[in-house]
Amino acid sequence: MAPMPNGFETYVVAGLEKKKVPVVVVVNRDKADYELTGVSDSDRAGWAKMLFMGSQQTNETASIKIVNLKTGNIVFAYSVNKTNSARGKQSAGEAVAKHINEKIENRYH
Amino acid sequence: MKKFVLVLGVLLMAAVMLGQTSEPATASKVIPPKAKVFISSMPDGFDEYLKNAIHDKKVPIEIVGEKDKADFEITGHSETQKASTAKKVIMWDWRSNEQASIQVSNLKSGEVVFAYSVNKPSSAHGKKSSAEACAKHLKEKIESKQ
Repeated sequence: MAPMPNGFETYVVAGLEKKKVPVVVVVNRDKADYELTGVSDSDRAGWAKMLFMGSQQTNETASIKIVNLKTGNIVFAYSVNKTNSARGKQSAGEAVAKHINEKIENRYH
Repeated sequence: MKKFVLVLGVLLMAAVMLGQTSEPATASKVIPPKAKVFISSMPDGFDEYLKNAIHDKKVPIEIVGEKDKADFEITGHSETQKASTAKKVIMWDWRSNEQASIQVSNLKSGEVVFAYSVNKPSSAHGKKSSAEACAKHLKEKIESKQ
């Protein structure tokens, strides 16, 4: 799990834990078979959104890719955009984890 | 009779070996009570809030000041969104939105054994609330022995 802007990698790891994704996350790149890299961005609610929409929730965008470190091939990529994210980065991290889980499950079925 | 004893012995040995081979996979995810944990620095000094929360919630770990002496390391990220003027005027809400995420990694194996993220809109006690949520779930993880 490579470092990402705003510490998004820790939210993805927490998402993997919560969604019980069958992977072992390691902190040393040397011990890994795959590497997850990505970017994330948060957009805070402005006064107009609060006034007209009554919402103070953030908009979250994130994009990740998983690379096989042996072959160098990108084996999975996913991007998420959550407008009015209920739980901020946590929601985006869990969305990423959910889709990684689906990718892994599809491989076996 | 000798054959029966021999077969029984072989079966017992196989059972013991199977037990030994399957144990590390589950044991590696366990954070034992009184484990030595190093908390690395985090943005906005969240590590200090986390240390206090671990103490307040009586999480059964030993916090060490040097990484070399630790078995586990806690890393993480935290973000505070202070109430803007618009939020204060329109929503009558002075409280901040807090989000934080931590991960605990085993320093020997390099594996992440626990991770948790929290998002608290209009947090009652700011960073303290999010740090205590992290500490509470870490305590649950240790006590579950899984």
